Amino acid sequence: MPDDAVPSWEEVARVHGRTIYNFAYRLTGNADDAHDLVQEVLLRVRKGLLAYTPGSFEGWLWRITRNAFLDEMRRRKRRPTVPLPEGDRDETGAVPSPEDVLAGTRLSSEVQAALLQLPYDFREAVVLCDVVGLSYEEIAAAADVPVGTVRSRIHRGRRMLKDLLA
Amino acid sequence: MSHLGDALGAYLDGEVDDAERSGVTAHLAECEVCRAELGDVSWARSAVRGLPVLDLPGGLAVRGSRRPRRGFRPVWAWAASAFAVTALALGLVIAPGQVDTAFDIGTLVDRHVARVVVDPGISTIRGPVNGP
Repeated sequence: MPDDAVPSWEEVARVHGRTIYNFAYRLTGNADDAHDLVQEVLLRVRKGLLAYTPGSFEGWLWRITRNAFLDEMRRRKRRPTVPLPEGDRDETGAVPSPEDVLAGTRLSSEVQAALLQLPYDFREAVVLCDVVGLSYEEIAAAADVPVGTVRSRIHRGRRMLKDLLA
Repeated sequence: MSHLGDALGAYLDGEVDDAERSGVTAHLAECEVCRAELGDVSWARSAVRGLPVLDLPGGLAVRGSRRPRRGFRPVWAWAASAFAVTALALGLVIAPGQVDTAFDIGTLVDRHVARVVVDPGISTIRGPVNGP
């Protein structure tokens, strides 16, 4: 999307709804929390679009998403939970990609459980990079930290994941 | 020899400039510790990237619909808002003692519309309403 384009609310929901859900699910391990978070984010986007100034839409959207997520978690005072393995395994039977082989064909439930053991800042940086697909600069804008901090968190987060899954 | 540390993740993600990339490549050729570290973080990176993309439960009501004009609210959104307002009005009539007078009707409508977007199954009055 060009930087000067202001999307409609419905467009944001259609294009980003699933990604926001995946972001929230990977951070919480809880489908209900993730679903509620999508609603909350869309609500804030709807209100926020009225005052949105064209610029980095991704940075704007993910800052809202992150803040909504943190507010919701704070409000519920709920700690992330380890999910049930059902419904979150890759059982498509497809031929694994070279990357899957490289990653040791770990069950997604194991990777999810390891993610939930990371300190929040590291988990968030890894999820925004490897699940959402944001650049370091976009992650820095969303989390309001310097790019160097993002770089450190991503590296250390992955290091911890490897140790947890070894 | 100091090790590369954070630069390895940035190197994997293409978040280094040409000069840093050259430096990392040269260091890796000489340093077994950093090669092992690169293998470890690359493994973890692939494990997370290999997680399945989950579908939003209930889907999105606007999926597949034509692009709306700016400022245009689709029929179902108006219908949902009307439903919410009507429900609130009924609540006012039936149970005036339980109404929170500080409640913001706009917030209720917004919340209902947001809910309909992510969970269209809860909207039961979309069918009979005709479009403009």
